Amino acid sequence: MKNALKLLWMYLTLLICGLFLITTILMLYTSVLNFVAGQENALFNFTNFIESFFTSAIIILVLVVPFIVYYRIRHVGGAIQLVFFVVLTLITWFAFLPLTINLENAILEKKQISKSEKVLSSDYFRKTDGEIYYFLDDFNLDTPQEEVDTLVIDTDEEGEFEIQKIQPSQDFVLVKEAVPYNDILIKQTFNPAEVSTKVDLFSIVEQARVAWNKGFTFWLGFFSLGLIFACLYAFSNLFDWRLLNTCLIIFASAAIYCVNTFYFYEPVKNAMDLFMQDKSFFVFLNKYVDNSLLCLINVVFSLIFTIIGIIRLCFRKKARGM
Amino acid sequence: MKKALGVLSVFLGIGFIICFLIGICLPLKEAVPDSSEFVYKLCTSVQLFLFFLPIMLITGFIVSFSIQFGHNAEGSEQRFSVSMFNRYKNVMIVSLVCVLILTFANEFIGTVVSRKKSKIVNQPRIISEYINVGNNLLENGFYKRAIQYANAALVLDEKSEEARNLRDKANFELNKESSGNIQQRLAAAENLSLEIKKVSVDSTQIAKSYECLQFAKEAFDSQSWFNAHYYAELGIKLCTSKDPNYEELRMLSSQAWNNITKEKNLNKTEAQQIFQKKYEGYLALVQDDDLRAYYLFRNLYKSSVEMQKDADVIFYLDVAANRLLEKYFFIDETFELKSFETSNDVCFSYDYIDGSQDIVYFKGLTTVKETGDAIQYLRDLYVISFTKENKLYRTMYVPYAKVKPVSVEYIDYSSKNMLGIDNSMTYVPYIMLKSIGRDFAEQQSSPLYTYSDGTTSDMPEFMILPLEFEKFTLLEMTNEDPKNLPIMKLYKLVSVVDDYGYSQSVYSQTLLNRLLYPLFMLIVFIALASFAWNNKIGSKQYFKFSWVAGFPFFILASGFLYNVVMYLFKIMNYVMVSFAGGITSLIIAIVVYVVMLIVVSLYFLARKDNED
Repeated sequence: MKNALKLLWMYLTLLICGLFLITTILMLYTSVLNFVAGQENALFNFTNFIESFFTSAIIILVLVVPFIVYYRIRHVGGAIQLVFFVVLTLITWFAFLPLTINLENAILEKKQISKSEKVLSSDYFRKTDGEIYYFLDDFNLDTPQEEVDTLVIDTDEEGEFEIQKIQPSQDFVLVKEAVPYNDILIKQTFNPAEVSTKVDLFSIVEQARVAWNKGFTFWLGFFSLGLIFACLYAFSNLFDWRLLNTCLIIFASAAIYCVNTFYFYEPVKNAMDLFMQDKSFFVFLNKYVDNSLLCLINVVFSLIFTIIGIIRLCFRKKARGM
Repeated sequence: MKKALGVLSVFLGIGFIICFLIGICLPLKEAVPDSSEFVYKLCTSVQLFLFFLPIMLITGFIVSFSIQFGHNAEGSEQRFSVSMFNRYKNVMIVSLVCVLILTFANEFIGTVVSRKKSKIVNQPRIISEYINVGNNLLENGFYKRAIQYANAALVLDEKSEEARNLRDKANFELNKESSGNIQQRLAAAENLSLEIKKVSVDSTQIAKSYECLQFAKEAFDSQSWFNAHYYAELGIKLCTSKDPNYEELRMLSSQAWNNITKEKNLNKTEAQQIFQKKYEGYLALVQDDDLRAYYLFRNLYKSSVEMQKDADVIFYLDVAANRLLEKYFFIDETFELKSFETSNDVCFSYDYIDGSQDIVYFKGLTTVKETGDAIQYLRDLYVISFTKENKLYRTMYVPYAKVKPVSVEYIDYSSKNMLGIDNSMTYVPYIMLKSIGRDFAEQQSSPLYTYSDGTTSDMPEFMILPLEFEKFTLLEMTNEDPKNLPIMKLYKLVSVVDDYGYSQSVYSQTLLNRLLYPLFMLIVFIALASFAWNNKIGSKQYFKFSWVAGFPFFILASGFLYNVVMYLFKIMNYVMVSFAGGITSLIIAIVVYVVMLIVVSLYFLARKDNED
C-alpha cells in the first residue's frame, strides 16, 4: 500500500515537474524555430507560452504513464500498486487529457492568437544547394505583394549572378527548405537529421485534439496509444538487472512514440490509407476510429507485451516456488 | 575505478572491432587506388567508430558503474556519505577520461581521418595534374617551374615514375641551356664581367643622390648613355632642393640624353636599329608607359642570344617588369590554378560610410603557400555595388585577380577617407584586376565594369578593400561549415562576421557548442553516474551472459537519449547567444553549465543505498 501511495505521489510530482520542464523546453524550442538571423529574437511571449503550456500538458499526460512504469522498476509493489497504476492511467486518459483539451479549446476560442510575422532579414547570405541569396530588403511573408530585390548567385561552374525580384511566398525555396524553422541559417546550425525535419514530432498532440473533438469512439481509438504505453508495465521487471529493464522501457517508449508519429509522415500515411481503402474491415472501423490500422497495431502489441509480462510472472512464481 | 575503466575499454574494444569489420566489408563509394584501399577502409571504420563513440561510452559508462556500484554499495546508508564522496572522485576521473576521449575524437581524430580519406581519393588526381602542368611548362620552356611541379608531385608520391621523368627532363634542359651560355660567355669573358657588374646594381639599394651621381658618372664615362641618364634622373628624384649634387646630376642627365638622341639619329646599321629599340623602350619608361617599355625590352631580350646578355636589355627589362608587377600580374601565373584551389564560392559584403555597399563573390581561391597565404589568386571575381538606396550601381567581373596585402601607409588620406579605412588598420587587401601576357602585348585580361545605365569600362585596374587583410583571409573561410573550422579561426570570426553578411549568432552558437561540449558532457556523465547508481546490479548478483542480448536495446536507448540531450544543449546555447550575444554569451554559458555541474554532483552525492 505504501508503494501504491508513493506511486500516486510520484504521479503528481511527475505531472507538475514535467509540465514545468516541457513547457520551458518547448517555449525555448518554439522561440528557436521562430528565430531569424539579424533580428531581435524574443525568448518569451505570452502567445507562445499559452501554446507551449497546452501542448506540454498534453505531452506530459501522454508520457506520464511510461514515466510511472520507469518509477515502478525501482519501487516494486504488489497487486494494489497495479490497481493504482490502472486507475491512474484511466484517469489520465479519460479525465485529465479530455479536460486539458476542453480547457485549451475554451481559452484559444476566447483569445485570438496572432501568429508572429515571418520575416527573413536583409543583408545576410543564405545558401541552398547551388545558389546563394542576399536580400536587399526584408523578405516579409505577411506582405506577399511587395517584391523583394534579391541578389541571387548561381554557384555552378558556369553560373553567374542576377538581381531578381522575389515575391514572398511559402513556396519560396528558402522558406520551404527551412521548415520547421523560420530561417534556413538557424536550421543549418542545428543540422537536424533529415527525418526529424519531415516528421512532425508533435503530431501526437494534434491527434489527441482531433480525436477528442470528433467523439468518444475516436478517442477510444487514440487511447490505443495509452494502452500500449500502459502495457509497458509488463516489462518493468522483465530482467533481474534493473538497468536492462530501464533501458527496455526507454527504448520501447521511444519506439512507440516514433511509430505513432512516423505513421503521419505523408508518404507513410498515404501508403497506409491506400492499404486500408479496399479492406472492408478497415473501411468499417474508419467510420468510428481514425487511423484504425495504427490503433490495431497498438492493440496487438499491447496484447503481446501483456502476454510476455504474464509469462514472466508465471516463471518467476514457479522459480520462487521451487 | 580500474574496473570501470576496464569494462569501458572492453566496450570500446568490441565497438571498434565491430566498426572495423563493418568498415572493411562496406563497398567503396569512391575511386580509390588499390594500394590505399585498406587504409581507406580503415579510415571508414574509424569514422564509424567515432560516430558511435559517444553512445558506446555512455553505454559502457553506465554498465561499468552499475556493476561496480552494485558490488560495492556499502557505507552509503545516509545521504552525502564519505563513501559517496569517494565514489564521486572515481566517477569524476572516469568522466574526465571519457570527455577527453570524446573531445579529442571530435576536434582532432575526426578531422584527421576525413582529411586522410579525401587525400587518398584526391592525391592521384592532384599528382596527375601536377605532372600535366609540369609537362606543359616543360614544352613551353619554363624549366624551373616544371621542376617545381615535379618536386611537388614527388612530395606526394616519392615513387612516381612520371614525376621523376619530368624532373630529369627539365633538369637536362636547364643544364643544356646553362652549358650553352657558358660557352658563349667564355668567348666574351671580359665584356661579360663588365656587363654583369653593371647589371648587379640595383636602384633600390641607392639611398643617396651622391651614389646616383657616382653611378651616372661611371656609366657616362663608359658611354653607357641609358644608364647615365637613368641614374642621373634617379639622383634628381632623390635630391633635396639644397642638394649640391643637383646641378651636376641635371647636367649629366641632359648630356646623356643628348647623346642618346644623337645616336638614335645616326644611320641605321643593325647595332643602331637595336639602339633605336632600346631608345624607344627607355623613352617609354621615362614617360611611365611601363607596359610598352616591358614588351619592347622583352622582345629585344627574346630576339637573340646576344640580347639575352645585353646589360641594358636585362637591366631595363627588370626595371619595367618590377614596375608592371606593382599594377598587373602575368596571365601565366594563373595557368592551371583551378586544380589547386583551397576555397570555393566565397562571398561577403561590406558597407561604406555613405551607406552604399559592395558584395564580393569569387568562385575559386588559390593561395601561394610560400608567401604565408599573403598572395592569393581569385577566380571569377564579381564585385556588385549598390547605392545606399539599395539600387544597383555597377558590377565588376574579372576572370582572375591577384590579391596581396598593402600597408595603409601607402594610401593617401583622401582615398582612406573615401574607402573608410581607419587608422587602426595596418594592411588592407590590394586586388590587381588586370593581367597581361608575359611575351605578347595582345594577351590581356581586364576587368569589365558594367554600370546600371548599361555603359561599360575597364578602369580602374585595381581595387582596395576597406578591411584588415587578416579579416579578409578570415572571411574566405565563411564558405566552410563553422563546425569544421579550426577553433581559433571560429573564435576570431565570431567578432567579425556580422559586418560582412553573416550571422554572428550562428557562429557564436557553433563556438559555444564546440567549446562547451566537454563541460556539458561532464555534466551528462555525472548525471549518468546517478542513473547507474539508481539502477545498480544487486550486491549478490552476478553478471549473466544472457543479459548481453539486451545491450542492443541499451545502445539504441543511449543513442536516442544522447541525440535528445545534444539537441537540448544546442537549444540552450542558442538561447544564451540570443540573450547575451557574442563572447559574453560564452561567459554566461560557462556559469550556467558550472551551476548544472554542481547540481548533478549534489544529486549524485545525495544517493543512498536503502532507497527501495
